[in-house]
Amino acid sequence: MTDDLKQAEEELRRAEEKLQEAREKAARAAEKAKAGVKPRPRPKKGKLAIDVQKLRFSYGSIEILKGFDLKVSQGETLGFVGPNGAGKTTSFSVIAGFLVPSGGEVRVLGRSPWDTEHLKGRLSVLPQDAQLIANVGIHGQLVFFAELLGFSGKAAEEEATRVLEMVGLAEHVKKFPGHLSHGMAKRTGLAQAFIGDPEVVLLDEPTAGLDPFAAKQIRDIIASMRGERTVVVSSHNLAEIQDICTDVALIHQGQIIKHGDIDTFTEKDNQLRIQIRGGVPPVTFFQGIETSGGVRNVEYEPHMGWMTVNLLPEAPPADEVIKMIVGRVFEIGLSLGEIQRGTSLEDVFFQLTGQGGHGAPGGHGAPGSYGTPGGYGGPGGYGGPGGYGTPPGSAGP
Amino acid sequence: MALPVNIQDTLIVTRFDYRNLVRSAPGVIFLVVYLFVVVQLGAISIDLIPVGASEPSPMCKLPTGSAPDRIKDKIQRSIPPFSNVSPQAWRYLECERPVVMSVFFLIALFVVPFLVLLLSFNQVAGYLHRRSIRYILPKTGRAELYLGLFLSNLKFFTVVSGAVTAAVTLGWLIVGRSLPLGTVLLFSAQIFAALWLSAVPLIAFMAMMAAAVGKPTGTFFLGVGFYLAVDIAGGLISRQTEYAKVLFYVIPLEVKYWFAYPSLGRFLGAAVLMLCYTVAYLAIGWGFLRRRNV
Repeated sequence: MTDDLKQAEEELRRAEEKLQEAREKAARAAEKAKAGVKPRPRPKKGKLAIDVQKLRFSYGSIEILKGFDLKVSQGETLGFVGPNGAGKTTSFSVIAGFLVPSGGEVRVLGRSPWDTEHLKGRLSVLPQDAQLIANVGIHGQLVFFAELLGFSGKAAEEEATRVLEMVGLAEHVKKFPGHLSHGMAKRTGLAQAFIGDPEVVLLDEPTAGLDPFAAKQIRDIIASMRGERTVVVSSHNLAEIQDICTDVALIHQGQIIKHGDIDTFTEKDNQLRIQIRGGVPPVTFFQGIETSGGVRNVEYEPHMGWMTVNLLPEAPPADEVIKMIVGRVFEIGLSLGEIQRGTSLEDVFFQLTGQGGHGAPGGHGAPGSYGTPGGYGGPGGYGGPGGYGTPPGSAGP
Repeated sequence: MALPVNIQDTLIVTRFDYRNLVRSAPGVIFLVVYLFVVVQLGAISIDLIPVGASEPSPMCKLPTGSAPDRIKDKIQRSIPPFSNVSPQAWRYLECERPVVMSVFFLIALFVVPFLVLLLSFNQVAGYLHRRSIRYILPKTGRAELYLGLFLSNLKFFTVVSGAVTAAVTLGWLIVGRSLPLGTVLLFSAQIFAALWLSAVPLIAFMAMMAAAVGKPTGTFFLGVGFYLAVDIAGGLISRQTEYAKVLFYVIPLEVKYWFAYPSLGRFLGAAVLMLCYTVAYLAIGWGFLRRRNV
């Protein structure tokens, strides 16, 4: 009875919170309407937010972007990843209309990015290396940006305060850019990108240089926009991209080399990674899994105890395979660490860009890792030449 | 037909950048130097007013061939602000206007453009160099930003120059009580208008340079260097050939002295020319900015 009452109270509290949030949202919408700011339409399914065709950009004789296509649907949260110098920031800058492409075409919500009159308030950008205006306080700058977006007088002030609160800078409204730490300046930059209710938000490395708390706060904001707004996020933090994005585009040497939804990208339905602890399983354990239905092959990396199970298209649901493997692990008296569905974005990144990461000596996933000759599970899987059971140091050349 | 720029956005940019300018290094340096130079100039001219003088133009009465008259002649021939003014204009400035104010007027016409260059080199270049422009561009167009920054510099100059001219005029009125009130006020208004009209194209000139160069230091040295080079080269070459005087019209060097002529037509002509210079510089600058990478 007491538990029921507590549960009911908790539900009531949550409902009250939601009601309060809805009231605040409605009040903000009313304020915006009063200030003359148009409400933004919700994303239309199947419509493109960003359409890039054969985009080229050169600095002098150096070609940075080499004619790639990119289509971002409305409501998509796209992670834009790639190694340093791959062309991420340049792509952002061309899409935002800061740089003039040397070839190809960019359309944002069906318009050229230079068509400010139509894109004003609909497209917002967090540029990577822009500095705030030095001699005006951060609140004053945000009021200025809000005024340019159509907020007038008090509404502009309130909008500036709202976005500063949103990024955790409510106590620093009176500060000037010169008095801000790198992280605070970055958060102010983010705040300006959230002014109004933009339909397309481009965020170039939004969490770089932020402390873990602030970074989480920003990730939560981006996650809350999922499906509601089109967000393109560039980041070197691949775990973050995997967490918050619905889609990923990988750019390498000025070309998009892979673009798709994150589940396909990370082969969520094709691969399982299970960390086994407490010892090295016997060969029969791996044989047993490999001969069970739907499993293509098994690879094992003893250093950290990771077992990768590649599934066939006709495999039973991944949850069932996990259940089967977990049962067998306990049968042989070992314990479990982490279980991952699909490979990590980081591994895909290393594989596709041909760069060493975990796949470097002692690592996993990149070329030359546990799947290579001399490694565990090389040709023929575990037990292949120099495969499962070989001496330590076999985690790849 | 809709205007190619959004006036409301332009004015928002102007208002904001004015706040930025007042606290910026170029703004503060301009303010200090302008106050120092022009107020000093005003103070010197006020000191020249003879105690109890009843004539509006005491220098006009200098005995011909006397030492001060010879010095005046020498100045008139060799110092640019004086040598650029015709004998006809000299007579007007000496005899029909309080000559102390005329001295201030001519020196100010010579000096103020340099100070304007000092103020306005950072207007667009600062935003480009620090890439602050990237925060602004998705929210308004390049044209609105360009024009708004130009107007904020003009507004700043107008406020500073207006306040200083008013202060100096007050000094003339208090010290030179014998000077006719109407003449002093009218001439002060003429001085202010002439300085203002001379400054407008130079602010546009620096906006153009900034749009082309994109860096404050480069803009400053290129702008000031170009101004000085034209002035010096024009002065040197025009001694050899009259045609070289055309150099003086690349920038409004010669035209500004038309404001000192005793003719309303010439004053208005100079004003129109100054506006033409302004439009031309802004248009060329816009040509650079509209498709440049920022």
